Amino acid sequence: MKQIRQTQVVILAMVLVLLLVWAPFPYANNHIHAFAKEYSDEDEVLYRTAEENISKLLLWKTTKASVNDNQELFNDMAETGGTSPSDWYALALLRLYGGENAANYFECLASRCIEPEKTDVEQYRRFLVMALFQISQPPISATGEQDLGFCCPDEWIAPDTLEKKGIMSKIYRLLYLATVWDAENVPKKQEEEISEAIEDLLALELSSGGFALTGTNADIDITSMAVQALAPYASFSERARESLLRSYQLLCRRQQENGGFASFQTENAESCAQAIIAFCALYCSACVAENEGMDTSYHSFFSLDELRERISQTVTAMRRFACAEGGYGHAFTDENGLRENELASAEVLCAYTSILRAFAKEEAGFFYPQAKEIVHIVDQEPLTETEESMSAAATEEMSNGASVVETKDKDEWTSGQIRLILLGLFSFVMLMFLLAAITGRKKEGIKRKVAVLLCIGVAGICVIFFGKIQTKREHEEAMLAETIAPDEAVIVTFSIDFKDGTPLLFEMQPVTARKGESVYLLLKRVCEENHISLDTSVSLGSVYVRGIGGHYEQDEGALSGWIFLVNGKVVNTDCGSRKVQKGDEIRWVYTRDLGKDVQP
Amino acid sequence: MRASGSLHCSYERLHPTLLFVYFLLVLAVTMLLRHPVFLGMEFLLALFWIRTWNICTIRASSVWYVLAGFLTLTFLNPLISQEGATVLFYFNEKPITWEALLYGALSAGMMLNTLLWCLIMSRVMTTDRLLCVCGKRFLNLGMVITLVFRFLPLFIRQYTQIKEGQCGLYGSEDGSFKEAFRRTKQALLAMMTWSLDHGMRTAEAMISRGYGIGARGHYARYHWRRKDLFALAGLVLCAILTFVPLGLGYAACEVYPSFWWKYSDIGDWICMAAFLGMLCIPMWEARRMAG
Repeated sequence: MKQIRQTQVVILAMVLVLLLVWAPFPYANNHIHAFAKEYSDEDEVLYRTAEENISKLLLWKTTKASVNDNQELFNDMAETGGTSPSDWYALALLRLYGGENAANYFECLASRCIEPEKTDVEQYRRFLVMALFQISQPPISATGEQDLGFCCPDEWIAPDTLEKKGIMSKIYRLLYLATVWDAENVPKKQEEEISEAIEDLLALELSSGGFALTGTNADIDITSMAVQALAPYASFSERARESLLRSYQLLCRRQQENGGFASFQTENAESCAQAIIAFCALYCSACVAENEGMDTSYHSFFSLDELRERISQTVTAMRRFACAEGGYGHAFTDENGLRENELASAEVLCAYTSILRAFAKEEAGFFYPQAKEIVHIVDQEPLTETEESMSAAATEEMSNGASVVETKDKDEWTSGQIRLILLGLFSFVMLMFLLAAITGRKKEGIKRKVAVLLCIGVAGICVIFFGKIQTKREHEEAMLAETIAPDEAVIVTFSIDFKDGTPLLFEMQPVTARKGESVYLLLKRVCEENHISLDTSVSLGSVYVRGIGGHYEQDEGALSGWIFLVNGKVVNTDCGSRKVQKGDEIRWVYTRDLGKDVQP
Repeated sequence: MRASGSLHCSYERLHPTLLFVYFLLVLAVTMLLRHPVFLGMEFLLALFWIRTWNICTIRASSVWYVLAGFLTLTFLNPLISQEGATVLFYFNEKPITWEALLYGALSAGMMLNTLLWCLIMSRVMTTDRLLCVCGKRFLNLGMVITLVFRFLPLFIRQYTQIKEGQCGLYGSEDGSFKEAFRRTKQALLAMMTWSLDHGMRTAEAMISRGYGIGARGHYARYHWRRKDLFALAGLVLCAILTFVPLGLGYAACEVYPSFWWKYSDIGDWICMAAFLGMLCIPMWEARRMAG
């Protein structure tokens, strides 16, 4: 009997040690990427989607665009002011980052606005107004102190200077007024001014609702801008509210069945992005209306659920324009399929930031708390030197801010602390087993028991001590650092085929792989980037791909499953150990006969 | 030890069928639900059974074992399962999630509760009670159960005897694994012939006592009373009030992908109260019978 007991104990100990050693086996689990979709809270889903896409876009912008095309994160806004993607990037970053650390940036912008001899000073002024609106901060605070270090003279946005400039000037005037406007305390004079500005804008409203730059056909982009300008006044002005309702109805009418939006008869990412921005502005104002418990007709019309539904539909439609590299394309009518487009990506980024702002749980102004992490990430990427003092100053300011915020953040435990806690917990459990063994009635096998316990204890402590423990942030940084540096990139062609050559992901297409990366890691990365589910099983260090994109092994007979071909030949080795080489042609196919049916 | 207080061992006066239904229902809920409130109630009531009605004595070592086992199971789960939305930190590239930890704790609690209730059931549902439950309807089943229950202790006693005999023959047991295996094999072979022989003798004894002559009767010490009927009705009512809300989605608890549980609705309250009532019925009944 005694012998049997001891054998059992030894076997148990071996199993435990094996578990401890196996469990931290360094293959990331694939289930973890799916959870964002399963949140019950719909706000949370939108928020997470936006967050995820923002990181991707920023990363794309900093790695692909600036490295490959030699473009800055902020390029020269003077020459392309108002129409270039850089404006949208700046706006999006301001939204993410808030105005707190952007004083320098604003100063540069303002200095350009005062040079009257320049012809495009108007553009700068408009952009300044837009930027101010994004951070929702008046240039001069209520106490008269200069928050942003400059003064915005009234004449820049005075009605008479903007009168002749058409609808955009009216919109910008309203935007400016929104920055200095304080809902709690509206001076009589300002009230009149705002009403006047609203009336000015509404005079240009089309009979069918919505706004347009010229002509009678409402334009999504301009309508969206107008909605943004009017939304802050929803609780203040009856007329603004009615116009918002009409614009909203127009947007709803224009929304296509798949959720997307079109301008000039072409569905495109920019229109979707603008519509999202408008919907988010409406959502914010409806939230405010609900909080204030005002006019039920208003917020019953803008049902929050419906708005949320529309936003998520549009996001779904917009995400179809995402390219494999991370950027966004303009429309599907481009030659060569969908191609990345700076302007589209920038506007999409802006749309995502609006979602963040609208669905942020905490009321933190417009300051998006995770922005510091993203900016921190952006900061690590090399930015090419620029002669423009403005963009340099702006980025410098932002990165300074990032490091300042980062050092302040001490909410998370460090990995060292986590290791200590784990050690403590483990020793506690082992101590309990020891106590149990010592206080037990049967004394005969106690020496061996204690010895076994000590062995397990030492093994466990070793695993915890030498194991790799990362906090969430460290892990994220490590993952991002994995993006391939140019010198170790090799180009291979890659595709995932399904059933007689129908592509599941894409036709043979060049993909950047790391030098010496295994076929499995490449597949995993491609799947992650394209949101394709991947199910693998790992045993004894070798990887087996069970299913890609929901198509599993043995779905079509006992001999079916996923295999991969390198340069047209079936490879029967483990995909975790087969390394990719430069110029390899890698094709994942679904076979029904152990690979015999796919061999040419 | 027993029959010292008014409450002590008074479960013995309850009808076995009632107890049997009670244990089946409690075990079903214990094994199916992972809701923290239910786990808590089950655990407390199990402790109550054990302490008040002397099911077994609780030793310090077993408390340590249970605690250590509980913690081990809790901490093993996140190592194996990476599901869950709230990542605490990464251990060798694998996310350790809060939900996995919670799931481990709840599963460990469930296992502990199941063990405790099985222990209580095995102590309370003695052979005579089981036989009484089988009753007239399943006479043959009852007899097979009797024979098996009688055979098991005899088998263990005989096995110990053979082992001791081996010790006497070959010296103490500290041998190699191979040697121990050989001895055990020998002992088991001996047990095989012994059990066949034992079966033959039992059969002969039964025949000599008149087995198979005519219809068999059935004897039970327990009598079905009106009070038992009320208790059974209460049990069934409580069970319905527990299972129907559960089926309707009340008192639900999901751990993955993020933890949520229902406990504030009126349906949840009804469900929990009914289950507590179900757990307490034998105590209440025993007190009534004693009083």
